[in-house]
Amino acid sequence: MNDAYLYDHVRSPRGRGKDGGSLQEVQPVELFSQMLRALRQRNELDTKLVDDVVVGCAEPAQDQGANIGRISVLNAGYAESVSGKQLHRFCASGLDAVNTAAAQIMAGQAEMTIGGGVECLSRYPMGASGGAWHGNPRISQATSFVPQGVGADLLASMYGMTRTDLDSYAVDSQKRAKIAWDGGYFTGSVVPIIDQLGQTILDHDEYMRPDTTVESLAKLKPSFVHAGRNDGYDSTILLKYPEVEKVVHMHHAGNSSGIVDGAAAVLLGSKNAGEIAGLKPRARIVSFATIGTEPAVMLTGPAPAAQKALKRVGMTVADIDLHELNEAFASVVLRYMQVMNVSHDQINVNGGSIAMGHPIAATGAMIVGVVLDELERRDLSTALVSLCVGGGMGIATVIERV
Amino acid sequence: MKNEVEIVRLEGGMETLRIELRANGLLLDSDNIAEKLEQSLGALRENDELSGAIIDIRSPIDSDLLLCNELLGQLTLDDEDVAATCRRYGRLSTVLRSLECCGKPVVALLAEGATGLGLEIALACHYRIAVSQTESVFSMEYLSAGLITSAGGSQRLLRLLGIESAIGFLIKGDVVHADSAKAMGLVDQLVERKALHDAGRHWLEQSEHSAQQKWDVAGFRVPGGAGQQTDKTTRLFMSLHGSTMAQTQGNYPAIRALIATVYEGSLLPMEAALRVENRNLVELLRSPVAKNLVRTLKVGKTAADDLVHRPAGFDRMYFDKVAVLGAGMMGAGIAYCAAAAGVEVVLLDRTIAQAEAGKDYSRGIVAKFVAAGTLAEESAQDLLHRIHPTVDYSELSECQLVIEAVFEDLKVKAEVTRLAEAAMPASAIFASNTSTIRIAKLAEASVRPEQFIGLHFSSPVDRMPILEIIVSESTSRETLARSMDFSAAISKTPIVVSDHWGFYLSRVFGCYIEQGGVLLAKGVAPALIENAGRQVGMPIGPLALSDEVSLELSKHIQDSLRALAGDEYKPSKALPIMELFVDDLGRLGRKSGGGFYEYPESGAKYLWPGLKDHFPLLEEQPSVEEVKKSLLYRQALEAVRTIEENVVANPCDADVCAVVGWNFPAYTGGPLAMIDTVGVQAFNAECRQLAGVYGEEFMPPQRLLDMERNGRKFYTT
Repeated sequence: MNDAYLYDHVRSPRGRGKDGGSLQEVQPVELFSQMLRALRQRNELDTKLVDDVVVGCAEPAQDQGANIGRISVLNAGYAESVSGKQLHRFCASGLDAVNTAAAQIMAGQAEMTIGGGVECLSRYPMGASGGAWHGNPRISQATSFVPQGVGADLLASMYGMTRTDLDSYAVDSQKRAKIAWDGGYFTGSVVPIIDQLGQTILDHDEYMRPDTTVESLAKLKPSFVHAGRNDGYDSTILLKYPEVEKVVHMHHAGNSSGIVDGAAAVLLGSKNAGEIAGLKPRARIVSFATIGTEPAVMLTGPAPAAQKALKRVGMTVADIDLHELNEAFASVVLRYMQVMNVSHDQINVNGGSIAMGHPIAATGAMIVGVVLDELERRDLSTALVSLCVGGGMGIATVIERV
Repeated sequence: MKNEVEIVRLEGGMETLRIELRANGLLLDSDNIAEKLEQSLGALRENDELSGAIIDIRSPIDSDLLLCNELLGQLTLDDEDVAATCRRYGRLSTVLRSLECCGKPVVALLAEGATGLGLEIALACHYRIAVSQTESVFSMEYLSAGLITSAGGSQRLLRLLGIESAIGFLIKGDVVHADSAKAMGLVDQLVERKALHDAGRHWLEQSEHSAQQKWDVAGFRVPGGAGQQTDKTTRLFMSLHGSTMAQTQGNYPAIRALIATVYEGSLLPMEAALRVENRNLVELLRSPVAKNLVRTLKVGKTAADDLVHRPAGFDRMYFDKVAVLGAGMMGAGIAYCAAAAGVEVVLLDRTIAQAEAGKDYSRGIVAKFVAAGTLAEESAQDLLHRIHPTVDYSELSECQLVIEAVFEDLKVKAEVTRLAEAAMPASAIFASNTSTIRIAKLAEASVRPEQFIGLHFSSPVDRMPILEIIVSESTSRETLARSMDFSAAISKTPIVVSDHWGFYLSRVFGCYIEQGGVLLAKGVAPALIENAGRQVGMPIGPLALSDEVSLELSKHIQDSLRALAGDEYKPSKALPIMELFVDDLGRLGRKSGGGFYEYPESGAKYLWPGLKDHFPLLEEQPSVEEVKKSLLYRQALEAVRTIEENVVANPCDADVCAVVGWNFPAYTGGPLAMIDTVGVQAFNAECRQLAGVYGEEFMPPQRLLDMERNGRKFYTT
């Protein structure tokens, strides 16, 4: 098997994912094309060397519809020979795109690939492209559909988390993100988004609220009470978890991931391809895994996926320097920490999507870059990246600096 | 009178079909309607002189026992050929589709409104004319029978009204009057009764009227969107999924089938949509749930309400004035029910303050109805005027029935019996609302034991429909007949039982609470016990219920039974828990100090954290399935014992009382129907397993062993 190396990564700043968000006026194809152009520019890349581009997009509707991958490649002015595809694994799409792009290299079927993702929630919010799952009566019963927020609250209720636990975690995310931005930890990888005249539209993560405190969060009403009580989803999820007395609703916008627009792309290649392109590898993709777990609670996938990826290469948690787990909901990360026995100073050390936002299909590719930069900054070696995923899946990737 | 179809050819080239549907227009004998429609369709197609058709539909709502039995017969599908069943129940749907596409206009005349199948047929017509009068009703309700539409009603309704309105109408089983039907769009035109036929003819004569349904016009879109086409419909289906699961706990397939039929059908051309409806219907026909619901709640309850077991030979009695002794919660509720039925009620208690407090209960109820607009202020006042609070037994002198609802204590009851019998007319009936003390025992204080009977109401009396009538050995048949007449007067469903300790209702229902205690003592997690109770279909968990009833009352009943029943007393397995909570912990129940739950000033109740200290948790918890079964099977086994001991005369009474009386899960049809559904062999085997864990009360009684041996069931249909 060949090794797949990570040569470079870029991400856009994250715009607020609602009407008025700074990136709303940027067309989705263009948003991802700017990532491709950045990779080309930074690395003086002869794009004819790129075999394939894999792009996650979780709401492939209208302007994001069909295959945004190939279209972004053409729009970016890459060589016509570069193929592209769109990929969908819900929130895992970005990381899955990186894994898929890497797998082609590892299998010896490609030399250089790009994996990434793009999501414009301000234009195509969650649900815009419908779903096989949540809207369909017969299917939702057969597959135990429960909205994620109720699952997040169940997770917190089951594992002894309090509202303060969740809110404290959220405040830490905000603080860490601010420190990282102010310290310039991100400037090497965040590529400002520009208009057709070259003017900057957005150059920072505008969703952040660094002044957040536990007191300010305490004022927020839990978001999933209506889904749980009025829509009956508390009762529905307890059918799967009858040992739980009740679902206590604790999550709200301040301790759940932010709704944002964004894009990211990761350049991968074999050793040979890197040499031809004159590039120095920054990390190696060591292993990756996906897994399915109980779909009603939906959010318990990261730890088993992580364990699966580690086991494949004979590693353990002890071998991992930094963990990066998407902050879909505070309880997701706190639960992972319980299961994997990981402390908060080893995970999401520069904040996460509670502070900066979760551009669904792009996030997985973004956080690979976030943790790699931090490994480099601290001169550490190994990181484990994971996300919880719709349908109860989990995904994880182990990377190692070279 | 069954369904009737008649074809009358009128002059002027209009063929008239008259279709009469009886009862609630459920899936009844639609074969003869389909056949006649097929003939008419043939005629319309072949005969150029025929320009259209009028269908005169009559389908009053009626709860006829004969027809409910017929429906039950239609649900008995043993060993059937699925394809044949689909064809049989799709026949009407198929011909209606052909009719609406035949190119000639068809108008429906709805003189009395249209319900069920009648409305489904009407929707397949191109135009609907109804009469503007308040008596005519429109509805399409099948969920209570565990079924859905069979003749395209779901598909036409959604295309007419849009998904949201259609689903609302179908799920809630709305019954609307003519004006609302017109406003909603179910009906196209309202006319005076005498103008109905002319209006129909007039519409047919208008040559510009299209003989095409709007959903067959090119470019038609379901109003408001189909499937997931809009945010609104998507959100509707998402919220329906959760609310349906919460409501049914996954136990009732019809409502999900209905929603799926609407969702999936909305995205399809009509022919395919009708096939989707047909498949969903047939699947429900083959489900035991439909059969159980119809047998118990339609056939069984109707039979009981019709006083099928009333002793013959006595004229029907009408009640002008009754008395209630004891104005506590039960007495106050009984008084309300009587007053609401137009009966004068003397409400007597020890002090006038207590009697008035009992009347306050009725004041509260009517105030709510008046505020909601469902009761006129004048009617409310009339009701209240019928209740006469007093301390004076002499006011019983004209009462035809005296109901004693005082404290559950032999001495207290004996005293009021004596006082009442001294004042009430010699022909009047004396009834006790006791839930546990044998009538014969109470009748020892009576000078007229042949006129002494038990009338055991359920709490809250104004809402619980069941009335357990307990007949002692001395009670006369006339007294029983009169008591059943009273039950009918106040719209209760009577179940007649014989005079054994605990009778039927309290004895069997009590096993649910008892088993909750057994599970707790065994170390099963309280949350698991409570969730299992709700998820298997009981309205509330056994521990919460125990708190509602109050542990104090439960213990008092045990103490009372021990004193009165002598050798026949069998202590509840939950007695140690009652003693612990009441005597040692001072936790008497919801109203005093909490019980299994804590009841904070503000906020929801929660399980008392101290439970695990008194009831250490099992390392390995049982599955929720096992806990669910133990809670229902325990009740079922006790119900079988009451049949063995002739406490209840027949399985139907046992099942109706369970489902109507204490909300034993309706989808099972009742404790005995449940055994039939599980299969007595499988049931016995499971019980033996449960006996190994939870005690010998789970060992199958002789009746079940006999049934296993000779292959008998409780019900033949």
